[in-house]
Amino acid sequence: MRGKWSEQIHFNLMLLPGMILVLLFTVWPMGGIVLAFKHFIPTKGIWGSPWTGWENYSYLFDTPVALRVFKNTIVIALMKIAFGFLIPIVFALMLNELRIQWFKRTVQTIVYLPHFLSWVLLAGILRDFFAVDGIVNQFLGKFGINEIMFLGENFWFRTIIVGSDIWKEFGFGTIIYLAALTGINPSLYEAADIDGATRMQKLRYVTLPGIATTIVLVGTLSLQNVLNAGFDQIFNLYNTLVYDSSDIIDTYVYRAGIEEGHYEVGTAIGLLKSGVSFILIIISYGLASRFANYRIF
Amino acid sequence: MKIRRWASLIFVASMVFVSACGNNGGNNNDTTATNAEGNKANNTATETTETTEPAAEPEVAADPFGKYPELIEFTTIRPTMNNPKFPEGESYEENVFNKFMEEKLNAKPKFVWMAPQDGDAYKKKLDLSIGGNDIPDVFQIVGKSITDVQATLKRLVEADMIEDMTNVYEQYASPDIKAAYASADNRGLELYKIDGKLYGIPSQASLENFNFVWVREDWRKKLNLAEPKSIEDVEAIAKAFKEKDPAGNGTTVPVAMQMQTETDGLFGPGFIFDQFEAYPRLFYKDASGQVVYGGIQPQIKDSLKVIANLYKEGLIEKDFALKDTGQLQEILASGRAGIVGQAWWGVWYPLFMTLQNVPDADWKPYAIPAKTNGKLNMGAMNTSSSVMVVKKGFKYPELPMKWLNIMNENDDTEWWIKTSQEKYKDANEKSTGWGGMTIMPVDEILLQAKEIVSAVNGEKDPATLEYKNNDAYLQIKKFIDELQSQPQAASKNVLQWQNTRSWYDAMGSAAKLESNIVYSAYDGQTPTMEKKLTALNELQMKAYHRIIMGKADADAEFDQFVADWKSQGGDDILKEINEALSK
Repeated sequence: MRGKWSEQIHFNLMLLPGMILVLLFTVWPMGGIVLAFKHFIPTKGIWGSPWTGWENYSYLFDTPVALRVFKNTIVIALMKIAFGFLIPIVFALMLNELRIQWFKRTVQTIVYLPHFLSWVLLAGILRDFFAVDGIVNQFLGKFGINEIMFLGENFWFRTIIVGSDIWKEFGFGTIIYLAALTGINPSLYEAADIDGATRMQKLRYVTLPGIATTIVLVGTLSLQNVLNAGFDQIFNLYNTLVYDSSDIIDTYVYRAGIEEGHYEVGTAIGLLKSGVSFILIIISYGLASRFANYRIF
Repeated sequence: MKIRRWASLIFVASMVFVSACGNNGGNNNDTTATNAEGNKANNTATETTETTEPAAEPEVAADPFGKYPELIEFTTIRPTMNNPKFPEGESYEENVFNKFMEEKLNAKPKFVWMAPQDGDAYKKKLDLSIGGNDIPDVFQIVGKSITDVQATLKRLVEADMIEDMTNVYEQYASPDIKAAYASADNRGLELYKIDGKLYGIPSQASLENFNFVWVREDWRKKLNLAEPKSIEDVEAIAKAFKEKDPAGNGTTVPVAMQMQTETDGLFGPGFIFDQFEAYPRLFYKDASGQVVYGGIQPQIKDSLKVIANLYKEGLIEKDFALKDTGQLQEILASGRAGIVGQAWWGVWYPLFMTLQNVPDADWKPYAIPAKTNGKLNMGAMNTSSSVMVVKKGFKYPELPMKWLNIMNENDDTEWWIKTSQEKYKDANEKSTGWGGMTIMPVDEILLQAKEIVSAVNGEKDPATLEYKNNDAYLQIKKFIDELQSQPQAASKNVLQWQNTRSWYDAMGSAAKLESNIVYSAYDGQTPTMEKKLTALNELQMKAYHRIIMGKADADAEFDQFVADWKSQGGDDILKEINEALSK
């Protein structure tokens, strides 16, 4: 690998299109971040608009619902991260133990399909499912359980939000681990067989260490989502009754900011979220390198 | 190794960047991209203003109806209906109205885009245009509420994007239009003044958006129920609908109601609030002359208890809080709804939808005088819901004013002769004239209704009717004299039925009652309102919903809500309003 520049040039050239895309669509628009500290006036453009200091942030922190909004965001996001992190690992390990190939493949395909449906669509389905006269309540009624207004009660609403998110995404998350599993050298299993390892022991000593790096990587990257509780999903499902448990930063900013055309407030909150995510990534990366001896650089 | 390092560095870096730009990347892209164009357009616009100072031109002496010497094409946008049905060969762009205006004024609208007003599509698109500094020459600002419209107008003024219309209004508004605004003490104009300057031409609806109780008349007759005269009668009818289940299979929804964001309007419980003189979203002056907020008054609690009782009896759907207008329209269209609250025009939209699927259906409106004062009460937020503005630098800032003058002047003559022709029979979009905006005296509809009803009842010579009333008169006369006893009269003669129910039954019965209109005392936006009103309104909605759905003790919950509302900014808002009004 340590060849001359001229030998590497074609590799570097292959990087070029990707770098251009990144520069154009992610680095260049970052200039717009200054909007977070400005009062946007369209005729003057982003640079010409006057500076306002922290005023766009006070918009969020001064509202009576600020505390509720932050709490919900973090609680929902953490629940999603925790369950959304564990379930794909467990599921991948279970799938990996299956020996019937066609069954394994079918299951794999079915569970990752929901990933491709939009929340607008799924919200409609969920609404029907969990409606007062919906299929879930009809089923519960057979056991003499009273109708529950799932989407109108704080406890159930949050459960449905987290549950449906995991249901939608866990199949897709599984793929990464399945890929990592195929990367484990089969000779390790053969050696374990010869040593008389049981299935559980093989899992403990061969499989898990084999995918540990992937687990740490996915875990590290998922931490950036701690302030992303899922706008699309909540926005399409929530209602006045469950604001207490479901109103998150994004939905509040949408209602109070974007609907009134305060783009700068949206930007300010976006920047705040990114700042927090950035710090979290650095921390989790530090932890990962310390405890799992995992390094990207 | 090096390459891998680089690749992973870029990978991680891009992850961070993507997350950093997450929400706002799109917006920024938009603005930067369109900025260049916007500036260009702006430059040319300023050039034109420099050469021709508006209103100072000798050739355009201030004639409110004056025709332009050359054809003027102005760019514009317009809110549309959801499912417009035009008479053959017409569209929003090409129709008799636009052609008529072209003859009269030598001006022609060129639509940059159109979007349905329903569901905020128009408003959202307009916001994008404003954000991108790419607005048409003349356009209408609409919004969820008057504060919403005002906020948009304020942004445009701050950005110096629109013309000051003060002089245009003074010089060009026709006497009729000035009289129309005066009928509401010029409240409409005040709404859109900033620092004493008028920045747009307000629409003005007549104020008779009383909340009527619409009842499935065919069901009422089938079950042999008396016509409702009080709110108790309405409840009794609802109960009967529930017990007898006229829709079949237990699918009847006795009272189809929702309260998603607004407290009245389509399917709202407004008719119950009016019973107690309760005005949930209104800042108004009480008997002592002090500005109070309607949403926290004890009358609200009384109204909520009535609605809560309906809910308890199972007359409103169990998942009341989850319903929105769209879902209720489905219920309505499938013929399951029995009673709905709706304005006088409800039969034009959306009540006629029932008839499309249930040929036997019929809806009839009832004006129910209030328990408290025996009058037909109404809280009037404001007289105007939208405003027409002109882009800064547009060469003919008086053009929309002239346009509206002419439209208004001809409102009861040539328009209506044309729309009563046979080919307009099935069209639901007839007044296709650009703008879709009306300026009426506030009691226009009531006066019109009185005239029509007295002609139908033979108290007035139909020959003396104005053109626009004549059409309604003929339709109503036909329906009452010939059609109404026939089977499926309503669905077979929708137009006649619509005219009868809206003019004759709804507004006709309203005209017989004494009405009590409570005006909003303050329509501006105070600093605290700007920051906290959204949250306060949500607090209010949540408390109302909880009380209605019996999730909490009504008295305790309401007291708690009032205390919260006051402490979380409500008191500040009231203080600011009183200060602003005492200035």
